[in-house]
Amino acid sequence: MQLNPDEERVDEVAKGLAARQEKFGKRYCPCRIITGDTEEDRKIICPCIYHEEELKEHGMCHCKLFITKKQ
Amino acid sequence: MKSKFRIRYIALIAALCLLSVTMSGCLNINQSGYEFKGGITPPTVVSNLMQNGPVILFITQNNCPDCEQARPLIANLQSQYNGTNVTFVNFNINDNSTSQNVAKAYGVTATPTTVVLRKDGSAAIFVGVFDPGTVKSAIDDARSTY
Repeated sequence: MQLNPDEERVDEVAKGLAARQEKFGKRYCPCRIITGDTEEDRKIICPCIYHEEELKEHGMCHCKLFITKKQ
Repeated sequence: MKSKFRIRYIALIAALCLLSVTMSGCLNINQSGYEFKGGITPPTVVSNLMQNGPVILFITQNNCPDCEQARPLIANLQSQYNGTNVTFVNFNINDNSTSQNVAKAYGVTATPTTVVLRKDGSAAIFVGVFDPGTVKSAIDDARSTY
């Protein structure tokens, strides 16, 4: 995988991650919902547990921070 | 002999067609790429809105780039249904517990999530930035239930 070459998108996601780091102490994915259950929420710390499957299926993660590496 | 074979062949085709129609009816799947799922009890705030027509829930949260990307799409759809019985409601889960309860009721784990509701409460759920044409088809489908 690689970082999305769309710098604007990376910037937006980074801002979201920074806001969550500041508020919750962890870099939770900005497009995922925090449940309040520490164990459950561990799954959505960037890069989240879903990213590999999403990259495989859609070529990018839900937040579009990572994309499939171009050969 | 030939006509016997022909009758069997026609019967087989008819049976397959019937099976296909029945299956698609049971699963509520259509070729537009959305599926209405039942078994979800709408929260009171939503069921009250469902009395007069289909309800579209647009569930977002702060600092979500895709939510901002989808916002003009939902606004555009909303303008297309101005003056109809379709109700659009925005729920930002950072705003209040009502929004959080609505998100929970529909099993929302990522945003934006757009939910189209039919009269019977069944829901077509779109996660992420949606294709407006597909959501429009789902809304028209939902309208036909009223």
